[in-house]
Amino acid sequence: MNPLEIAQFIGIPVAVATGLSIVSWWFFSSKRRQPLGVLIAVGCSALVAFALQEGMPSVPPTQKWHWLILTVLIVFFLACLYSLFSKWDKRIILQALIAGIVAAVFMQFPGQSSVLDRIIIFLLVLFVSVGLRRLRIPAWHMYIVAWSVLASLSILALQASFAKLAFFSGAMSAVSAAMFVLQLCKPRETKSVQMLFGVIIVGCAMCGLAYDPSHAVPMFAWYLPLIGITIAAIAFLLCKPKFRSVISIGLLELCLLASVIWTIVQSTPQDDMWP
Amino acid sequence: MFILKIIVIPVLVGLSMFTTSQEVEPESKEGAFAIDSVHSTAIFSVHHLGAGMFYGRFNDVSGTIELAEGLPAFSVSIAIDSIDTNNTRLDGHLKSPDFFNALEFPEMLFVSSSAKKIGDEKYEVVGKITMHGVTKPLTVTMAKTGQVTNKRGEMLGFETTFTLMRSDFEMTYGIESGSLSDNIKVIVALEAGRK
Repeated sequence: MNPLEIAQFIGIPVAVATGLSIVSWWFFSSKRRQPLGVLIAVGCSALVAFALQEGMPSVPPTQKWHWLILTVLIVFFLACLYSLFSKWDKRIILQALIAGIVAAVFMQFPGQSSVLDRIIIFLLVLFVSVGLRRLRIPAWHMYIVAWSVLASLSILALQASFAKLAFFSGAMSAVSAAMFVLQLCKPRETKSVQMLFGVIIVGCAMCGLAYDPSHAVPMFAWYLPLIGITIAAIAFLLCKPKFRSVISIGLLELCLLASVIWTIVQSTPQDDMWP
Repeated sequence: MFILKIIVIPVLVGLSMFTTSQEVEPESKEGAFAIDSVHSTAIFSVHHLGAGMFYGRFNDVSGTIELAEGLPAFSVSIAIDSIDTNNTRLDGHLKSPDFFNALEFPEMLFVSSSAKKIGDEKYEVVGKITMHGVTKPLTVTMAKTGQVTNKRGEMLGFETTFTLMRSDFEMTYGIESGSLSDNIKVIVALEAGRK
């Protein structure tokens, strides 16, 4: 990773997400249409982050890890549809169930084709999406969670010698950070966005795990950030309103730190990668 | 008679041993040969950061060479998992989807379709190379490095040097940033024994 690559692979998706979000303030100004602006910003930036490295994805993809972006795009279109119909707003579990089924069917990474793997992916998307929804109160809370989780997954991907995935999750982490800042500047409705982030987060973790056959990153380290979201969401529900934001994010950060530090400590520091 | 025993007989025995261990020309130059993975090599080099040439190798080269009407036909497979740069983390990165994606595309394959003699023990071999899930035509100059019959049986060897563009095989990591060159120099040296 050099500054030019960071500017290109992370800076451009952030610029796209920020630009589209700001434009959507005018085009989707009504409360009903506001979530569509956020969804388009996140979905398009994910596509740009992927296309900058691998070009536009083809169907069927030439490599199995390209299913990550194709699944994100399918969930993106579903999330856009949900945001158009007000009766879907309260159906958080149903939305997460559908996202889980889509991910379980389409996210076909090497070595994860068994029924058990499909069930694990389904459950992870379900719990992470619902967990993120719980952490969406207030909305910037969810962006902080997505920002830190994707940043830690980016570090894990780098440790697993998968730089393209590291750039993708790093870009989506930076997009989450930009969304957080924009949310503070101008609060917007963010219905269904948790599904998109849920699939991106689970997709990055499962993709990294699939392409790390030598376990340069311990298997549990890939799951820990996802488990951390669920733990944080439960803590958010159980704690007193005054402390729940701090406690839930604190617990999540502990999980992320444990995952990253564990991985770095057990890695072989004398070895080097391409720059 | 004593002189005959101590001088002539040992000399004759020695000469006969020398004759049996010496390499002789093979009786037939046609037929199929199996590539010897231990004594065959595939080496590649790439320009790193616009400065030095970085070399790596593949330790597992297998396949067959067929000789028919004096012309060779090749089917060579290189196991991506056998990549060796003397650095385990670098090997892991080269096996990842950033480069070869060894999990999905575990071998590199060259299958020749025709060959013609272009000089003394030199052949222009036309075929197709498959790498990273992409198949492209490739023409290489193969030099025959030897064909002998010894105590291991009938053996032959070929060597070639050629250049590939990584971008032709959708392997673009590091090209735009200038970290790694697009073109890779490849040297393949094959040794094969009669099947």
